[in-house]
Amino acid sequence: MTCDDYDIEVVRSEWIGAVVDRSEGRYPVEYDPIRRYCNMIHDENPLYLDPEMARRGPYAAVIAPGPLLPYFAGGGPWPRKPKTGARRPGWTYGVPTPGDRGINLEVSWEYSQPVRVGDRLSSETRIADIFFKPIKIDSEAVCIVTELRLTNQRDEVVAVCRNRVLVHRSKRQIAAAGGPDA
Amino acid sequence: MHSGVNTAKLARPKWADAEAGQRLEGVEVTVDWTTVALQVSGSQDWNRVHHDPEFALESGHPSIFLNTGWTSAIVFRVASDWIGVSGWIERFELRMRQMNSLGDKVRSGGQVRDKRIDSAGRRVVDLDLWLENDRVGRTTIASAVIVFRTPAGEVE
Repeated sequence: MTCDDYDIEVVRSEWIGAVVDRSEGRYPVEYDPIRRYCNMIHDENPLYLDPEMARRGPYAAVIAPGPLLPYFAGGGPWPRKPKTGARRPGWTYGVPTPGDRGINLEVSWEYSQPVRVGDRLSSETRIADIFFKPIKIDSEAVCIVTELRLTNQRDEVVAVCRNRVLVHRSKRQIAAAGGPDA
Repeated sequence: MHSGVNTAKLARPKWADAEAGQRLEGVEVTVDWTTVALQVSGSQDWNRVHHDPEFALESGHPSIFLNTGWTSAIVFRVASDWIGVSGWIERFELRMRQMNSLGDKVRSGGQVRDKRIDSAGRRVVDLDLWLENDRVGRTTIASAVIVFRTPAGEVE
């Protein structure tokens, strides 16, 4: 797609509100991915790591840290798992954009209840907004806002996440388009 | 069996003791290749822009940079370390304005912005959180809303 062909109003009318992904966790919430997450930031919080201590704590079990929840609602990056309702894999969810490189800008979470080891999570993702957001390296970058709802095995909403990802063109794509950014 | 976890780290702050302006303890990390490897392991985010320097350059970035998973986790930790078992992180927002890249010395931090009773009568503390590095200053601005437990142990 060239930028001349790109009509963001058409894209908005076709995609905003669309459910672009439904996913079920490949596995239940497990200890070891939580341990790896904690290892990443050297977090020794016993509520995330110590079954004995967590059992005596406010949640009566090890819980998953909030930012890690989407991991347990999907199939993981490998091996690829067919997704129900997904129009196209990838972090643009198939929303047409001039570029194909992305940066996450903002994330906002609302956590309703704890997620414990053994819980089963599912998710549904909708496109909430799409708009141009020019940046230094690409004047025709596009921002895609998604809303992810995470539910547990009792169909209770455990968290809602709104995410803004910026999709921009690579240096080569900008040069090929011959625009002012080239 | 001993888990090896330092149980002394569980905090128990009281809502009554929280004060606007009170500083929260963060951590400091110098981003090296081990940090990058732990980032991929812990987040399972295999986007090459976060671990492949040539791909990052070709994408228009000056360097690889740490991903949303790592950034969210290290900022969220400031709030979760502070609240310990005393309450629940109900909201968490993160705005990534600059990148944290290989070689940067990154520091997380936070402070109490407000202490209040919310419209539902719950005891709440609002936190400002951030991430900064020695190259560009503040890279990430975040906030959290903490709901304290009642004396009976419930989140109101």
